Amino acid sequence: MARRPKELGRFTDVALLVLISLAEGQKHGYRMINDIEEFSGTSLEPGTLYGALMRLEERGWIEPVESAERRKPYRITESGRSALGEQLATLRRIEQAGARRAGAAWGLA
Amino acid sequence: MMRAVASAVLSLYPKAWRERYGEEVADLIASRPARVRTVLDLVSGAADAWLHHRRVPGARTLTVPLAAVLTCMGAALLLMWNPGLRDATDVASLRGVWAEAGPIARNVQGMAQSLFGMAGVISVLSVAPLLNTCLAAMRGSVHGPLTRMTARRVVMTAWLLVVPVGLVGLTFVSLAFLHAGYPVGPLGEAMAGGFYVPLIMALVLPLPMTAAGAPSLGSDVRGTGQILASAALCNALAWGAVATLLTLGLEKASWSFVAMVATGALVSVWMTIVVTRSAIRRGRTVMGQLSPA
Repeated sequence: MARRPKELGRFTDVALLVLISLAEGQKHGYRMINDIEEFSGTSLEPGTLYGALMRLEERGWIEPVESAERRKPYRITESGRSALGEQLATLRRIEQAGARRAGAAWGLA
Repeated sequence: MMRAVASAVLSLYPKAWRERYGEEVADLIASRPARVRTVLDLVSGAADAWLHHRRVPGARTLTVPLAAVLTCMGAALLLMWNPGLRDATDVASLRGVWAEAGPIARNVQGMAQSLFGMAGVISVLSVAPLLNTCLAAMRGSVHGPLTRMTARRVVMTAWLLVVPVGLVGLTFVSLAFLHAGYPVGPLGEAMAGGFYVPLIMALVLPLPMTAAGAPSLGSDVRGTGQILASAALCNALAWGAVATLLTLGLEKASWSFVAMVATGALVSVWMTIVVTRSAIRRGRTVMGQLSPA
């Protein structure tokens, strides 16, 4: 059974985008917003981004990196990486089921 | 302009959130275009941070002192009763409706009065076993110094509370059973207890809370809470009878009057639940200190 972040509520999608963004390396808020916009086309505002960061940090899926700079970077943790893997696997199953069913409906299967 | 507004909105966030993320978000606002959408997003984020402030790393639990909660509820109840409901013309004008309803209305009114009366008496008696234990602890030499000192404090607190509890009880009895005051009428007499019983319960609560200072008094603290639970149940049932009585005259009652009665009932029931739960929880906590780790 895949671990679904049920309590993330309306931040579920944003949290997934943040985890994907951090999966390639640590980033601070500004870079995360630009990166997410680049790979998903979603333009996040600071309130939404930090609502998701707060939840991810609380769950131990990301952690702040010690930095002397004003912009504090975050990195994904091992449990965050594993949660991301499970969520992506779930999305893949949904995508496959969707494609199969849509294909059947359109008479392509 | 929007950037300044967005920065100002940051002050709406809880202190723990600002300490943790404030500087980072301020930096983001300064380095990105700020729009109306940004401001609205931050306002929504502030509301979310307050609603889920426990999730903020390093946040302390927000606790409103129990005494403040009960004082506010008690003051609200008193204001809703007088001048709120007692001055409402509906109380007097509905008298004719219940006169027509005859014995049904009288029986329901009597039921509400009796249940509120029982709740008041049970509330006062709920501390009797605790006081008995405290008096015994003060006299005997079986208990340690902590128990004896706590028992003394409980008894002293009880003496201090005799007058306020007596005054509230007397007011309730005068209004509900002795036709005192103006213009109470059948509905007023039926529901007066609902505004006074929670006050009596709140006034006796300091006794179990004080007794919780000594783990050996834990079972009596919990016992007081359990007895208070029966008082809270009687109070809730009595409000049910009041609702039935009000329903009989609902057609002639104004919506504001019905809303006021409903709010009074909710505050009354909620207050009794808060008092009962506090006593039971405190008793459990204290007894937990006695259990082996």
